[in-house]
Amino acid sequence: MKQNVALKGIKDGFLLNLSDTASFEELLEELDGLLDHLRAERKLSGETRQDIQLEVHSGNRLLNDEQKSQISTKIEEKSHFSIKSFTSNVLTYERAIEWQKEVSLEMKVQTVRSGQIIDAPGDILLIGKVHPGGVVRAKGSIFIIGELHGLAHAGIEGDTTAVIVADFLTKAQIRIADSIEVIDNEDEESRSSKVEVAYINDLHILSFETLDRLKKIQPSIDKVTGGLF
Amino acid sequence: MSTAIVITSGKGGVGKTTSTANLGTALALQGKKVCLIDMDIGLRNLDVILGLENRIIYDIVDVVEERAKLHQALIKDKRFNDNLYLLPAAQNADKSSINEQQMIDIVEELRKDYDYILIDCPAGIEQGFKNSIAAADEAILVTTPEISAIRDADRIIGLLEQTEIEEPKLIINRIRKRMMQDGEVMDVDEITRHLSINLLGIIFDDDDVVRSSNNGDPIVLNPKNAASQGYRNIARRILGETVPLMSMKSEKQSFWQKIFGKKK
Repeated sequence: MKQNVALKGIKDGFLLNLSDTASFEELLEELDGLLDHLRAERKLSGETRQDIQLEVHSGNRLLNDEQKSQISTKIEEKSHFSIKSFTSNVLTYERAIEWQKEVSLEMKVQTVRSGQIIDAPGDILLIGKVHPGGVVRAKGSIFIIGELHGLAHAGIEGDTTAVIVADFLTKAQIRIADSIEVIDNEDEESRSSKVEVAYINDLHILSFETLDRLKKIQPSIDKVTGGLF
Repeated sequence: MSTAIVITSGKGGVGKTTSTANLGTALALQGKKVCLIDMDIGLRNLDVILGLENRIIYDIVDVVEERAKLHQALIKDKRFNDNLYLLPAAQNADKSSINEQQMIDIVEELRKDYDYILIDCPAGIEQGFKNSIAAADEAILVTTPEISAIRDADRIIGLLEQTEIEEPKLIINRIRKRMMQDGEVMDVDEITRHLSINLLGIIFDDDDVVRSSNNGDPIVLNPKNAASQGYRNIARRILGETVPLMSMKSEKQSFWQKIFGKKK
């Protein structure tokens, strides 16, 4: 008989594979059987460890919250495992789009006027001018080709590795995570631009470097990072 | 084909009401049928500078609350051959007395009889502003060269971008030539470039504008005045004519002019 529920030992715990071709009811039944069998073996062997880490993998099936909760309950009640995570080969279309937005560089070409707010779920490249009173916000980094006279806030959900690249020869304000810096460079003599990288350094201070040092400051800036699950 | 134009600014005191009165008057003088609507409910002013305040019987709130019909509330300005009418604001009500749909209904009814409906928008961005833009096809943005007026104008453009109204056209009002030439305020090009909208016209600052307002006469009635010329040029541009922008250069007075008074 085909086994739809299989337990495998892995580094740091166990892996429970749920076949994606069986019906969910069949899975629950077999899981019952498996857990009963394990409990019996535990009694015999005198094994006493609790809360062994278990990863539940559903293959090409997408478990909904209800199903996950049914599996969790069974495992909690009938075994000594504690569920570390649910993993799968698939995800919903919505979550995929969301993930793509979070790890992509969004591009906007517009003038951000006073009172307008641009919000980006990941990094953003803004080509245009940010007027005084205009706001650009991003969970990731902000790159501005144009003039920044308003507010740019990178890493708004606390990512202190976010950076802001802009021409800082202006009057403006920048923020990275919860650090704030006032830019007051408009009167610097005989220069026509001051394109730099603003970042949070090891001492948790917002500082500036020339553009050529961007790779040293943030080696993974041009790589896609960030998990799906 | 009727056009409803809202005249707005964000900042108060930059010349919306004066511009509405003068542009309306100038268009009426060109033979167009014009209706002006004062949307500054609670602090009405358009009637005052047109010299019509003692002729108000019903106002826009009376119309909305059905105490009067629209045609009963309209006041004819007798100077312009039946071409200029005013729908006054209420003095004893506030801007929440009207909503956007009521505004749209009123303007729809006016479209049958008027070529141009000019809506004098109050300062701010609250209900008064929202009502004023609700029925407009086009917008005229009035600013002065002062930084706070320009900042507010920028905000307004941002808000208008979210509506179906065409990109607003700019009037830079109350220009003091000396200050601009000395670089103490942004010049016409800088302001226009910063706001990134098309320039409709410029009006020079002039004490005569205040004098004639106080008399209930729009300045365009005075053909010799520079501000009046500015408004008349703008009216012609609204009607589709190409009119060159007035020159920023101050005329130099000759020695004799200085002694005997300004050249005509």
